[in-house]
Amino acid sequence: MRPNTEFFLAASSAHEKSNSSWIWAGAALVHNCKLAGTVVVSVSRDDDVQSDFNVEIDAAYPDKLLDVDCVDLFEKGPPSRRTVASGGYISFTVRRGRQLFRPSILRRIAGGDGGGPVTLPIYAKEFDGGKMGQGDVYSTVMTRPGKYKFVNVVDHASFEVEVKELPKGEVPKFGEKIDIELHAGKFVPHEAEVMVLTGLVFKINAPADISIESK
Amino acid sequence: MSAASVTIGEDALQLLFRRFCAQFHQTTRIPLDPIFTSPPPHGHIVLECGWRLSNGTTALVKDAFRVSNLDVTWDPFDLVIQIDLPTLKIGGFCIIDSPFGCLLEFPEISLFGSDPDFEVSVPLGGLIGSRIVNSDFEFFWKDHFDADPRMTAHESYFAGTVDRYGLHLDIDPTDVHIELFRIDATVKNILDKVVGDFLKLIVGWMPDIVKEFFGYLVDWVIGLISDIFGIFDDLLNWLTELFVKAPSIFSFFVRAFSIFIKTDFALFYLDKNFPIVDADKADRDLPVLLPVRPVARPVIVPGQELKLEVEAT
Repeated sequence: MRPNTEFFLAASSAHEKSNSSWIWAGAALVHNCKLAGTVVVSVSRDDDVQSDFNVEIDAAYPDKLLDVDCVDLFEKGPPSRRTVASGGYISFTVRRGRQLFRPSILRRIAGGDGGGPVTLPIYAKEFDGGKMGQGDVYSTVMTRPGKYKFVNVVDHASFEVEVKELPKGEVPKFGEKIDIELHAGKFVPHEAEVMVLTGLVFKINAPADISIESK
Repeated sequence: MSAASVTIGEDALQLLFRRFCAQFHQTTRIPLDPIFTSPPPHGHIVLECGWRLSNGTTALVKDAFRVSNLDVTWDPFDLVIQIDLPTLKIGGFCIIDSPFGCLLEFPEISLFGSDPDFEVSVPLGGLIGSRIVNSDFEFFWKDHFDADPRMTAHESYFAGTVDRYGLHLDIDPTDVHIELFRIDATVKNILDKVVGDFLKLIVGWMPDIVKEFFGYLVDWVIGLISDIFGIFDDLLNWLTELFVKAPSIFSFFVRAFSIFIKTDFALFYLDKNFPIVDADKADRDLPVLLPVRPVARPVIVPGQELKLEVEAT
């Protein structure tokens, strides 16, 4: 007997056509903060609401990680601690809910310092999912079986993954992951076969903007 | 010593027996075989059931009290299906390593960590008909010491708790002839509905995050559960086997029933200190209590009456 499961839900389309700019409950972004100074963390939600706050990157600060829970950010406000060690990480995660978020980190490069003639501050984008660099991480969980192609839009290098069905008749291992290194012009490895629900952790070593296509 | 005789007609015995039946309701919990053991998911079925007795005819036959066509109604008859799914973990892997261990893990979602994770009850009471056919019982007397031993006979009489002899029925459980005569075909509809509701409940219970993004996983879980319920594809056959394949679930009823009639419930009670003259009628403060005891076994006159011989001690 196999009940009609249509009423359950349209299966996720998160990987059908996607990219590393938007994160959701099955994806996370991490920025490696190399330079000390003040940055603006800015997260947009898929309904065009945005939340910004300043973060101090401080060479003398002990904590290596500042996690931004994107759902909490909109519901409760920015994290109470807004400092992280230089060389450390600002991570963006989605721990519940069904919304998509687009995080970015901006750095003031000129103006707005109140000295001399009044100028508006000028910001440059230091990081987002479409502008990743050395030390950053993009991670996603493969939610549906199928074949997928991850392409670094910057140089067209690609990584292909075949996502297998959960096996019947045995307990699959859950919480598994594989690491993939992204270098200029190549992914290492450039292909893999994984069980559904496996995590892919892209360790970025070169300018990257990853698009995901379902094949 | 003078002897007295009490006779109870066949009709009166039937009334007494019907009164006994009306009082009978026992329930129990019977673990049935595990239905899905390895690999996971695990499933267990427990039958929560009880019995009521109704209708039936009785007759005095040679050396026995014969009960025929006594309906044994299953109330309740709930199949409680327990399902333990493998614990599913999404995420939880390390994204950023550091020399001191993992600096950041991917957010983890864990599902089905309980054992069992789910329990569903399929109520089939009222859809199953069974009855006792032509079973012969013996009569016997049994002592019931209900009175407070510190009291005199009269004190016990007024307290309403006296020592008595009970007229009981006895039967060897193997001599109880019981048959299944009906399983309503609609049991299948009930099972389907319960399972459908149950699956909706499970999906409803899953966090939004899983429903939205891990639809595949939801389908997989539904598939596992459907496999478990697959054993009921031939539900009528499965149920019938419970009744006919040894050891049948009837044995639980027969045991409970035979213990009940033998020990707990008497058709008829005889006070050991029998009030042969009431206090009022004799215009006295105290009744006349005559110590009596049954003489030997009750005597059956087939088709007519039961004779109970008692004597004063």
